Amino acid sequence: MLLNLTDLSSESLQSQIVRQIREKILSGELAAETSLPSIRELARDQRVSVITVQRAYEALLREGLIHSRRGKGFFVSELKDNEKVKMAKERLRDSIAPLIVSASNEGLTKKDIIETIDIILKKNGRKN
Amino acid sequence: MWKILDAEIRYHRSAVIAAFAVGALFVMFMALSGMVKSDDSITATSLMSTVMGLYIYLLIHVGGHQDQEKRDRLNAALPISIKQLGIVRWALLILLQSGFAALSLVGVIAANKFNLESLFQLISSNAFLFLIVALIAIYQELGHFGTRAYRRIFFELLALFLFLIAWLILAGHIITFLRSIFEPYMTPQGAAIYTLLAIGLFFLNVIIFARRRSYLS
Amino acid sequence: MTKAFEFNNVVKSYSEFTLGPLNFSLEPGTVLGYIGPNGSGKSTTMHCLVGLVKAEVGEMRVFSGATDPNKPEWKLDIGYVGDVHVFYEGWSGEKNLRFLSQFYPDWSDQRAIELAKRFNLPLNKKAKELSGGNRVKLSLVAALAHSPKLLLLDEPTSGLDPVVRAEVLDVLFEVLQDGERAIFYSTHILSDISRLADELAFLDNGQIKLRAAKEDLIERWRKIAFKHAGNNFKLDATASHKQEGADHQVVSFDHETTLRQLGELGAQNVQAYRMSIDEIAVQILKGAGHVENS
Repeated sequence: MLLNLTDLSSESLQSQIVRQIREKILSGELAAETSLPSIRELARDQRVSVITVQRAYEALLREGLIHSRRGKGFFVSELKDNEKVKMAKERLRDSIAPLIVSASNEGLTKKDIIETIDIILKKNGRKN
Repeated sequence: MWKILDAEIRYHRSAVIAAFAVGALFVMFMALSGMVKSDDSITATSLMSTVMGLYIYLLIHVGGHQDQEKRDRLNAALPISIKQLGIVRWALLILLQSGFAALSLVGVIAANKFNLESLFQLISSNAFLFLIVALIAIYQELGHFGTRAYRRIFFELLALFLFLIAWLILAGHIITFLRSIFEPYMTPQGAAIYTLLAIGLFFLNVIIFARRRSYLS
Repeated sequence: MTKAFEFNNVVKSYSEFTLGPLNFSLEPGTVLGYIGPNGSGKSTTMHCLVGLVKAEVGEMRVFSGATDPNKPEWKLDIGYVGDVHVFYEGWSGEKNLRFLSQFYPDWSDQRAIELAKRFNLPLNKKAKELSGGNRVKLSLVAALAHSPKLLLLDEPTSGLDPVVRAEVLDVLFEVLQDGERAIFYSTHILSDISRLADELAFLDNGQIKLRAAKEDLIERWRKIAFKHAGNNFKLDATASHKQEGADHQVVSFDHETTLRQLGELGAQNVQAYRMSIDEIAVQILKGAGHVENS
């Protein structure tokens, strides 16, 4: 599995692992029942400590994105499309809530905020 | 544990060969040149072994000293028991001294001076030499303990000994004193005592080494 | 499972300071980073474990063996890279390694050669001709060639160029693969262990002030900036507090508690920043006294 981990981000390595695997799962890149590398394998490949990967996997387990089978390792969980969308929405809401509050404190209206979102999506090649 | 001895021999190989070569030449020269007069049998052979012994000790101690101290640290980290390490540290020296003793024996035989007395002399003088070296080594080991007490005791004993020598010299007894040390060289009892003392100090040394608190140089 | 090593009430005294009492252990499959100022006793800790120095009190175990100087089998499980590198100076690296190989039944010449190649270490040069960095490499090869279960590493990357340093860390990550080996890694170069270490132990003046999972430290410590007009309040869980006018900067070792408190105090423009392991380590070692179980 190709991950892009960096020490330069303000995001911890553990978070980066969780986020990148989550994206792959929610986007469908990792299909249901795909097996994930073992904790030690991933730690060795990514040059991080075992505890870092362990905690990342624990977080993904808690979110219901992966499950483990005793003796067999970790696997991507089966999620219906609408479940995936719901998860993604919740995460979006959690992460932009403080930003939106802050923006509105700075005087932006709902229209301003939506315009900004449009610009961002266009820049990243997604319309609608 | 003998792997360490093997390594030491191989490491010092050229020095060892050179020392033996010179020693052998020296012995042959002394034995065959007739320098050893018949009435000098007491001092001659002891002189031979003493000179040669000193020669090789100089070689090993001065040359190897710098390396040796640090190699204690290398050896102490290896998976061998500390007591075995303590013994094998002496192995090279004992081996070399035995070699030179053998050379002396050959020289004595070649000079037709071989009899029971010269045999006892050989044993005694080598044991005595070993004793001196062991005492020096113990002094160095005590230094590792870092406790002043041991060193102070040693110096006090040394001072007492020197005072005794000074008194003997002043009182004109030095010759008889020396005689009393060297005469037993020729007797079986003397040989036995010196040998036992040497063995005793050897084991004392091994024990002190095993009790060191630190093997860092 | 047997621990990789155990210190039980170990004390080693010197005239200037005392190391211990040390009571800690290491689980197989993990990496423990050992951090502390010079002279705090890090090297001495390893000397005790490897038998180069005898502790006055206490005992140690390495896997299933007690560290008995007369039953040295426990040393077979150890690969040690110390603060001083000793060799037969007149011999080449290769000869030195051949000497050492006689003492370890699990030694692999092939592994030694392969490691020397990866670390760019010439094995045909005499030990006394090797530069400082190359001496470290030789020690590393010697320590790794018999695939020991416990690696005791004291500044193992000092003097190494960045390429070789990365290679050494790669090798260490590989060593950890089977989950049965452990690494005890003492260093000042925190970037070495910032990824490798599972846990960090901070040593100061002979005592372990703190031992924590690296991830926990990274999660809990934050630099927090905020605005507040008042200047007479004491914030919980902070290691330092700077103030200029209404601008404040604190270092917190439990940011949730501090942020909650700031919320109650009505602080404005609160921004929290993650801290690197370096920064956290400096804070812990500077004000170590009052930092408990962060």
